[in-house]
Amino acid sequence: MIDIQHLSKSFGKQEVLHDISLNVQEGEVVCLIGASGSGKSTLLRCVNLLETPNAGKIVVDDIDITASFNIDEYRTKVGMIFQSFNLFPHLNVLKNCTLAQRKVLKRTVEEAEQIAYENLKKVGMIDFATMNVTKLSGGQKQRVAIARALCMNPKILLLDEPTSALDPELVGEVLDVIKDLAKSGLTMLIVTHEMSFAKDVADKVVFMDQGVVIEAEHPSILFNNPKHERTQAFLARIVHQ
Amino acid sequence: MNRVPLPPDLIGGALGIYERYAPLFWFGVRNTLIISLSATVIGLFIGLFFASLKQLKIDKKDNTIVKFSKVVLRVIANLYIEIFRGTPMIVQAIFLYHGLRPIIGWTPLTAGIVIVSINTGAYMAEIIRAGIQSIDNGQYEASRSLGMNHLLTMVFVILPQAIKNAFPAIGNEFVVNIKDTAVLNVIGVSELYFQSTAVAGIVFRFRDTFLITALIYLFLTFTTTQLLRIAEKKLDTPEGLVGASSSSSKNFFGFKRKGGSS
Repeated sequence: MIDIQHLSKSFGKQEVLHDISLNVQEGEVVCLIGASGSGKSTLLRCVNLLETPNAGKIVVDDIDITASFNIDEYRTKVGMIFQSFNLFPHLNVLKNCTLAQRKVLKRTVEEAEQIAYENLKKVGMIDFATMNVTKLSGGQKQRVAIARALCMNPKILLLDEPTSALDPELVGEVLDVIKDLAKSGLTMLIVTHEMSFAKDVADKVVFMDQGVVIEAEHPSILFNNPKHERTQAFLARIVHQ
Repeated sequence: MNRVPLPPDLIGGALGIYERYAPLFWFGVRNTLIISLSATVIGLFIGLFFASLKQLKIDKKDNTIVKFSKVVLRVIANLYIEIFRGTPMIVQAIFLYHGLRPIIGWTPLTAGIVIVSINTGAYMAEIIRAGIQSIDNGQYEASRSLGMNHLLTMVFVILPQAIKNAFPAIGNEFVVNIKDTAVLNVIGVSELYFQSTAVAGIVFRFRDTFLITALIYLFLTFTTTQLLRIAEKKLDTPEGLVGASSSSSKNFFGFKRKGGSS
């Protein structure tokens, strides 16, 4: 479904991604792990074209998205979840979920609200529909952000460290929602520091270091039997923390 | 009918003048308010338009025509802002009013509204631009990643927040305009200052007349400032410090702390 071929990305002279190739099948959940600055988030942002790659191709559903095409239409099919939620603070929970539905997908108010309610129910936030988003807790905000993305009926969901900005006691509620989505068969690409979560949910775990993919394996292999030295060193550091 | 001479002292003279000529002053107030209010609103829209032009980013994927027109639009926006912020409004008023009168034959009042509007627009553009810059880039990214294009993102996500953030500065422009419309007397707009000089000319008491004028201006700006402050608080309540919840606001001012919660 997503086929990344020899992707490279530089910011000025700094090369953050070097010759990355990665394949994500439909319905697969892929977790990207690695130290800060290893290029995980940049890779994810390239898939949504929030960053423009310098070289290489990204082919999604047989379409090369790095060539010229309708970027806005593509983005409706690829949801993005941010570390800092990025809910629209001037709109309430429901309107956060209906804005893009109405303006981009041209749904009617009733239709959009019905879909919004369905998705808010999925993330357990239906009772908060009329609330101002600034009054929510971090975990609630992230669940609304997930509902907002789901309202566009995406084929792929990209999650960029969805729990990193949360207080520890709020991480669980968000991870549970993501686990449910994984079970429902949504294709997901997740940048995360939650190793046990990755172990539970991922079909494939990708370890990145200094802009290259070191290993991409099923979690049972990658966590228990890492082949590469750098993976071993990274996992050892995580375990000792 | 006003054969009785005015008292010679400042206060007595001023009161006497006001008593006799109040309608002339208030006619001026009417025009002053019409011009400053409409010019602030129109100026806000002009500012929004030019601030959005300045926001245009050149994309590597744009073709030559799109790139060229983006550059031209940005240059126009910059020229407009620089010219109208860089010359005195009194000069703009004389130049535009007399320059365009033979062509479009406008009245001083219309000319006054137009001149103050475009002058305000130049300042508003900078105020809105600062407002836009105060919005976290994540808002832009989130909106674009939902498939909304640049225009939809600006109109429905960025500008509503930018205007809210810039509201104090926008309101301030209104207060400034109430005072600055005084320069329009040079093109014969019968606003408050113009009317005052007329009154002063009749009674030949400039000091006393302009005490009244000053007090009226002060009354207008003070009232406006208070109204804006109330509006500002209303805008802020959903998430502001005071509006967060009643108990936390009390804590913020240190009332409840000692006895109660902590």
